[in-house]
Amino acid sequence: MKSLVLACILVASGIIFVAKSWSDVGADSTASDLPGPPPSDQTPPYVGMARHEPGTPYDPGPTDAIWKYSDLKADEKAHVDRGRAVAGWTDVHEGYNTAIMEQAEQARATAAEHELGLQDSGEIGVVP
Amino acid sequence: MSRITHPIVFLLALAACSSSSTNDNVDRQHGRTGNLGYDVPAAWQHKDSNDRTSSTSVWTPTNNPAKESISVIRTEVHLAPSAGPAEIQQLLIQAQNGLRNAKVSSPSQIVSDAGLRGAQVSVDYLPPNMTQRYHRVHAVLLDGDSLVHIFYTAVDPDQSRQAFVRVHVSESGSPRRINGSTGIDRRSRS
Repeated sequence: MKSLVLACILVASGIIFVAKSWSDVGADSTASDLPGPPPSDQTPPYVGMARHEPGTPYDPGPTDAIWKYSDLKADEKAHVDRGRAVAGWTDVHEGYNTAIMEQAEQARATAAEHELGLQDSGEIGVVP
Repeated sequence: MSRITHPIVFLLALAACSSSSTNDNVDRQHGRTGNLGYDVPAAWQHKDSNDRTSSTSVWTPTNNPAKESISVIRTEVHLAPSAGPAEIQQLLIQAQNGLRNAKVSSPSQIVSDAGLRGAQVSVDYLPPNMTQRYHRVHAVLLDGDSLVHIFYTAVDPDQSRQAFVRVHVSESGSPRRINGSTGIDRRSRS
């Protein structure tokens, strides 16, 4: 009986020793030693600012900070002039308009097919 | 499941879309698609397929230089209760407009001998991945909660051929022949 108790004490001591050893692993490299963001006492710039209303222009700042057309160089004026010349956009707009109309027609056709219980009806019964 | 309250018989002259008469002397064979029974030209072969909501049979002649086919599709749909031939015709035309280089013609509303109503349209178009134009006659008939689609498709449609499909549907699902069918009674409506 004594030998059994002694054996239990030895086993328990072994378990405690192993657990203690494992808990010490990495004890020297704690999270506090890892590099983190530098301390800052500055308030983030957005704190206290009113939320910008979506869809409205931002404040460009003081008037003297605004670039005027007359301040631009010749090549910069040419670039702006190209953007202001809307007469040449008609073809582009018509191209997009045509593509949208075609897509809409295709969508209507697909919807009609589905209502009729069909799918890819153009392939039905086609003998190659 | 479709609910059929009366036997349905109709006879379609599909290839000759301008024809309203059919040639009863043409050799026929009997075919079935789902609970549809119909007659097609003799010696034509068929391939069948089914999915959750539709049954399809595609019939083609053994010797087929004109690349002809007749496709019979029965499909379950969820149309508005008020949907009639006018709505079917509108949907039919819209669906054809999605085909490549489609030229739609001859839309009409049709009524079968037994009063089954629907619409029919002809279209010339370029099928996907094809370089030849195909001619198609597409007929649709309202049958309770189902639609019966019948396509006649060909590169070189034989206007003199009496390609036709005779469809018989009965409440029990077994084909029932009614003698004396004379073809579709086409009625134009404003």
